[in-house]
Amino acid sequence: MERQSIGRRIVFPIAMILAGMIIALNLYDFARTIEGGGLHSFVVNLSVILMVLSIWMGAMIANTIAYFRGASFPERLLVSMFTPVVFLLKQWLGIWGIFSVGEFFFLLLHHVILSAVVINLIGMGLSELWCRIIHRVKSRDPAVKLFQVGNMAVLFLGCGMLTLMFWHFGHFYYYLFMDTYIKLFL
Amino acid sequence: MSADKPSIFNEPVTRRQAVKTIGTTVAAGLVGLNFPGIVSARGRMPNVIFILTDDHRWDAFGCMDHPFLKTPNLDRIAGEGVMFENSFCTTSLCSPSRASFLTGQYAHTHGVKTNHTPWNEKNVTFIELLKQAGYDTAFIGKWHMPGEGLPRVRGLDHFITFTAQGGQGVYYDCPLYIDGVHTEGRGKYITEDLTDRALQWIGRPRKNPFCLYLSHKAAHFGFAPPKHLDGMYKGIDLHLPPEADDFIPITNRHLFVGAPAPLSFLYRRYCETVVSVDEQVGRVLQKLDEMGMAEDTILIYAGDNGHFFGEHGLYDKRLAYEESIRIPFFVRYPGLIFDPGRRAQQMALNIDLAPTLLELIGRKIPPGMQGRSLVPILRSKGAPGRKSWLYEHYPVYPIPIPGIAAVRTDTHKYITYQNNIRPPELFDMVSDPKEKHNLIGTPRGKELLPRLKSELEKIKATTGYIGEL
Repeated sequence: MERQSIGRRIVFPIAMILAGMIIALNLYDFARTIEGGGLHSFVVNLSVILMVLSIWMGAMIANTIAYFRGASFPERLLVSMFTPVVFLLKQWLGIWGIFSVGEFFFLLLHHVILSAVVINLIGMGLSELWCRIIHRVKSRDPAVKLFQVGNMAVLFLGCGMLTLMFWHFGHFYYYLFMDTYIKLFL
Repeated sequence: MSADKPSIFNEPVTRRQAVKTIGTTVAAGLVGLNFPGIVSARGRMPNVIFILTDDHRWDAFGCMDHPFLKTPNLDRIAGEGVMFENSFCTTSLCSPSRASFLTGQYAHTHGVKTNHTPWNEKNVTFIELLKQAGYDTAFIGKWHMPGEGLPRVRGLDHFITFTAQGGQGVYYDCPLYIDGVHTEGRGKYITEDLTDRALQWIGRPRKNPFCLYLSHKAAHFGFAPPKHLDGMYKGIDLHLPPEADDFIPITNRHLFVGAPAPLSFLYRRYCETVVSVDEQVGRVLQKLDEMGMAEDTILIYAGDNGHFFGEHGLYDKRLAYEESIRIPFFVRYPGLIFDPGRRAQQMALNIDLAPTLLELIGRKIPPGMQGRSLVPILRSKGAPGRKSWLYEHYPVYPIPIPGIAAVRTDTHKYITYQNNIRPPELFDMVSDPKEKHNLIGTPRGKELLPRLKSELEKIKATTGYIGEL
């Protein structure tokens, strides 16, 4: 795979997904000010599609672009995780000033905070699989392996964490989180 | 009148009899003046039934002109009693509000500030005081205040509650603690199960008047109606607010208070769950009618807090906007209310329940209670109401809503947030009841602000709130 410039293989996919998220969030907030029912629904639906694509499925898109532009695995991990981490920080920093510093840092374990990162780990893992399939078919190069330690690790880590966090409709992890919180802070 | 037939008019009266008669008459008059509700039609203290539901909005009733919801039994309570149209909770959250109903105190006084702060067993409840007055007492249903194990509530003869899901309970097959004994679920729908047990307790033979605190899980999140009502409002126009959209439970301006389901789905299920509450309340009313106790029983229906369903782009509660802080509060007591169906405009609070009940049964209201008895308003349409009150909210980990202290007057609302994390808000509740226009920074706002700031500080001081946040 030809290794393109940093701008094309790293900055572009990051910027595209990040811009998508910023536009989506602002468009959604703006939609509330629209009085007309039809236009209101249209803008809401558009912004929500953009939100899903950028925040929750961003890694699939960004990783695919970065892969075919020759980004290395650590670079692809950076590209995939950039927007979800920004979203995580946005959520996390929104709590600042309400709770104690300890509680603030403990919040990093909350499944809602972590979920965008976890889901994007799965998205990146899936993207790695199809990129490798396409790459292998197109290049007819048997050296291109479908399963590698890196892509399998992100996929299993993502799936494992997602299962833990949403086991029993999320009750298991939520009460584990809250019980630990109560023991530590109350 | 025959001169030969003995009667009280021609029988000779001894001095002792005369003194006894006059003394009894004067004593009865004094008692009647001071404690008008002390005796019921049967010549004893009235029974008390308090039904508390969860997250039941003040407007989710047929009698509130809801566009499709039919609640004939709840409407009957309002129609045969007094509906406090302007009633509020002082903290819009389950546990603090529940403790306020029980103690007549603000959250900063009774100490249950959030759903995680434990119940203080030193708190005095109206149940304890009614027990001291000779009542048989029962608490059946959702307690939902944390603490070590089950609470030891003084004055309770019979206590049925649940601890599943952090005290929230589950809609079907909920295991119960019956007088401290763990009992597996009976496979029933919880509102029906609790009502069955309440009716059983009401029907017990007894000499004393009774006080039943029936506290439902419904219509809290989970919004699971019983099977026969599931889907009854499917396909109906839900009349959600214009600023609402289906994604609000997920977006909700932040992601910690939401629910992973479309707003229309949640609201439909919520309304269906409310219908089940209505059905079960109907069974309680029927039981009272059958036992001939409807005239001798004070029946109060209330909700612990409100709930957003898309208003302001929000879901859930906690914030100080009307949809969150308004509650239903209906009082039915034929022995006292002579103009049934009245809609009282005076502001009533959850902390008013305890002092109201105590006055109704003729007991002294302890000085620690911060609510006011609503008895004067129940008796008379023109009785004065309060002019302002304090709304307080404490941060609930991990939800990103800061602490709130607000003053609600009969015409305005001024909201302040912990550490100024959010800018303060001031609303004219008369011209802007949906709180769309924050007056802070406007000429009108500048004019109003000093008075409201001063009112907030005054009410903080009088309720002992100072330094809370």
